[in-house]
Amino acid sequence: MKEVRNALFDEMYVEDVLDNGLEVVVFHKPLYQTSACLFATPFGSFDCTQVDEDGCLIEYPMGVAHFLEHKLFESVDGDVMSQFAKLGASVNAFTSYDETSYFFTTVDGIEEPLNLLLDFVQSLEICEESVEKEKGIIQEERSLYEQDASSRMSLELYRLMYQNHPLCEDIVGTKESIDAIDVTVLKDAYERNYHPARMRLICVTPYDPSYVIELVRKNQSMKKFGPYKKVTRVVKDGGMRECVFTKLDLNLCEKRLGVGFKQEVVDESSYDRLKRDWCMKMCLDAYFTSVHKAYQSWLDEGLITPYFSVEEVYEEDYAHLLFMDEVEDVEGFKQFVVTRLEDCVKQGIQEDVLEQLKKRALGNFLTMFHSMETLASVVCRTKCRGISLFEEFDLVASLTVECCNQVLRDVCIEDCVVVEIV
Amino acid sequence: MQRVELSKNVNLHVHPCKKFKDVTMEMNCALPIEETGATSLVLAFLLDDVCNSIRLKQEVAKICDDLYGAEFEVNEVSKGFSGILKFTIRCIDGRYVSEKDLLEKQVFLMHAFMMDPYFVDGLFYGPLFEEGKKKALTAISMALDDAPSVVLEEAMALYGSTLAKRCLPSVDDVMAVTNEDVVALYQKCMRECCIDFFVLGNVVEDEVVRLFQKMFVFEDRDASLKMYTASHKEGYVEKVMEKKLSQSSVCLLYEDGIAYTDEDVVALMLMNGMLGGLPTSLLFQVIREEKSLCYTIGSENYIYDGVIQIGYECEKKQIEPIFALVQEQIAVLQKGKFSEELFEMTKKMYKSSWRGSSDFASSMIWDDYRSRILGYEDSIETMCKKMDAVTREDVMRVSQRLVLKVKCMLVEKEEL
Repeated sequence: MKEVRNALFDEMYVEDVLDNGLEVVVFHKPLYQTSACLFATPFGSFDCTQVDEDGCLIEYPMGVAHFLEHKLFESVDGDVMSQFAKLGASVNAFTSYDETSYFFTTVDGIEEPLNLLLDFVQSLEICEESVEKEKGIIQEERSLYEQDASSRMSLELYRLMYQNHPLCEDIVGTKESIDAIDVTVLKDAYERNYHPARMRLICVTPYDPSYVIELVRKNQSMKKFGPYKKVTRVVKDGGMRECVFTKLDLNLCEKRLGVGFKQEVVDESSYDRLKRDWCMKMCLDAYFTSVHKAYQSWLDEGLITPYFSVEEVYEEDYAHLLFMDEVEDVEGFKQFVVTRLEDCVKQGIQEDVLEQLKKRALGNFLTMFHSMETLASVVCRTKCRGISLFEEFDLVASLTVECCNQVLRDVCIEDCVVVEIV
Repeated sequence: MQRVELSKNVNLHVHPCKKFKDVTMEMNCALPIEETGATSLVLAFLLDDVCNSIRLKQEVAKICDDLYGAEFEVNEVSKGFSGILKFTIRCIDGRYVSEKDLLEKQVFLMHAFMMDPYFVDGLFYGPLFEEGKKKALTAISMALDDAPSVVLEEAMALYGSTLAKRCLPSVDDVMAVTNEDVVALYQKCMRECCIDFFVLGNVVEDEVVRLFQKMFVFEDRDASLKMYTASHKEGYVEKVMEKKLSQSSVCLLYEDGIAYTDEDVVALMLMNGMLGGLPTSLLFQVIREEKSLCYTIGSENYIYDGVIQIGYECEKKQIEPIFALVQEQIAVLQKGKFSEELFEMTKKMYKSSWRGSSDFASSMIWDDYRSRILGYEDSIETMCKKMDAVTREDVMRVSQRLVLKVKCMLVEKEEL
C-alpha cells in the first residue's frame, strides 16, 4: 500500500495493487457524507478491434462496449439498480471512447454497495432473449443522439477528418452493428476485457482507506479468475476524406457551424502528450476567449457569437482542434477561424497571460476535489494515462512560454473541414 | 448559520463550513412571477457580463483569473409564484493560496456586478444592451431545438397558471424589450424586492458581516416572499405538433393540488419517486427495462406548483402504448398494488439523497433559502422523519389526486 499526500491541495489517497492485479485507489475525504466508488475497464468504443498476445486480431461489432455496459446491470438476483436502491445507494455507468465505468454513490455504509459493485461487474449473466430485448432500448438511445445537434456536430466533423476510424461512429454503434451483437460476442468481449488485472477501482470516501482496501481485498480473495491474457486496442485511420464540407438538415431554429483541423498524432509518452494538450489549451484560451483584447470587437462585428467555443484534443489515436459557433455565414466563419488561428500561431502566448491562465487552472484543480463522483472519474482518467492528478497539476505549473509556443508551431492549419447544421 | 438583517427584507445568511476549498456567495432577489419573462432574461444576461468599474470583457477575465478562476453567473430560477434572480460567485478560499484578502475581493466583485451596472445616462450601455438581447434570442432558439424542451414549454403554456408564466419568452417578446424596461426591473429588484445574501465556506462570520455591512447599503422595503402554490386548471387539453425528427417527444402534466406546506407533501415526493422520479420507479422499470419501449422516461415533481410532469421520447407508433402503460402505473399506485420493496427502497433513496445534499454548496444554500421562504427550518433530519412516517395509504391517497390536464406531443413528420 502506498500513501500519497499533497500539501498544496490538503488531500490524501492510498493506492494498492491486489494479488489478482486489480489496481485500487482510495481518496480520503473525512469531512464529506458521500462515498463514490468507480470500477472501470479500459474497454470503450475504440476497442472494436483488438489484438491478443499471440498477435491474433479480434473484431467486434461497433458499440459492443456500450451494449455490455447495459447488460451487466442484469443479474440473477434481480435488477441491479434495485439492489443498490435497497441500500440507499445510486448506481450508474457510462461508456466513453476508451473505457467503461460503473459507479455508485452512497451516504450510508460503504461495505455492502462496494461488494455489490464488484460482484455485479465481475459477473455476466445474460441470455439470448434478454440481449435481443436490450436492442430496442439501445436503438432508441441511438435515435436520441442522432437528433442532438451538439452530438451530431462533433460526429460529422470527425467523419470528415477521419476514415475507418471508430470516432466516425457514435459510441453506441450503428443500427446494423447493434443488431449484429449477440450473446457470443458479448461473452467474448467480457472475458477478454473484464479481468481484474485490466481494471481499476477508485473510491472517494470519508472511510479510512485501509479499511476500504481490506474490503476490496476480502471480496476479491473469494473469487477465482483465470490467467490474464493481455489484449491491445488497434485503431486505424484511413486519413482525411476528400470531402471537406457537410451540410446537415436537423430542422434547427439556430444554425450551428463547426470547423475542424486534424492534427498529427505524435508517437510520444502520455506525459508529453498531456503536456502538449495543456500547452495548446493555454494558447487557445489566451487567443480565442475574452482573455484576448480583440474578443469584444469580434463579437461586435458579428464574426462570432457569445456561444463561440474551441477545444483541443491530443490523444493516442487522434488529435484535432474544433471551433464551433451559431453564426450564419459559413465562409465568413471559416475564414475568421483560419486567419485567427494563423495569427495565434504567429503571435504565440505572452508570459503574463500564461501566468494568468495558470492561476485559473489552480482554482479549477482545487474545486475538482468537491464532487466525489467527479473526483473518482477524474482520478480514473488520470490513472489511465499513468499520471496522477497532482502530477498533472505540477505539469501545468511548469509550463513555459517556450513550450507553449513550440506546440503552436506544430499546429497544422491546412487540413480544414467544415460542418453546417441547419 | 448566522442571519443578519442588512435592512428591512434584506438579509445576510452566513454559513460557515470547512469541507469546501472555495467560498460561495449568492444574492437571491425574489420577483413575483408576473415580473419575470423576456425582461428578466435580458437583465440576467446584462448583469452576467461587465459592470461600471470593469467595462471590458478582457478586464473581467483578468480580475476573475487573479482570483484563481473565480466564476460568476447570473440566472433566473422560477418556482411557483416566484422568479428568483440569482447572482452566484465562487472563489477559492485564500488559505489554499496564501492570500488573505481574497474574501474581501470576492465581496467587492459581487458588489461591483450587482450594485454598479454599466449605465450611461441612466440606461444600460447601448452595445451591452444589444448584446444581451442577442444572447437571450440565441438562448431561446437553442432551447427550441431540443424536442423535450419544446413539448414541455408548450405543455406549460397550455396548463396556464404559474407554469405558463415561467415559460421561455417568445422571440417577439424579447425583441420588444427596451433598455428602459430592463433598467426599471433592475431598480425594482434593488429597491423593492426581498433580497437574501448567502455566504458559504470556511469563513469567519463576523468578518463576513462586517464586509457586507460596509459594502451593501439598501433601503428598507415592504415586500413579501411567497413561492408555493397548488395550481388548478379547468378541463383537459391535448396538442400534437409535428417536426422532422428521429424520435417523438411527449409531455404529460398531472395536477396534484398539493401545496408545499400541505402535510401530504412528503408523501407526494415519495409517490413521485415510486412513479417515475428514480431509475427504480415503475415507469423506468416497466416501460424501459421490461418492455424496452423507450430509452428516456421519467417524472418530475413541480413541488412549488402542485403539478407532476411525465416525459418520454420514443418512436411515433409507441406513443399511445406507452401512454396506456403510464396510466396503468398510476393506477397501480392508486390501488396500492405496489410492492413493499418499492415503497421502502424509494423512501431510503430520498433520505440518502437529502443527506448527501450536504456535500454540495448549492444544495446547502438552497436549503437555507427554503427555510427562509417557509419561515421555519425544514432540516434534512426533519424531512427524513417525515418520510419515515409516510404510509402506503398516504401514497395511495396522494396518487388518487393526480388528474391529467395536459397531453402534448411533438411527433416525427418523416424519418431523417
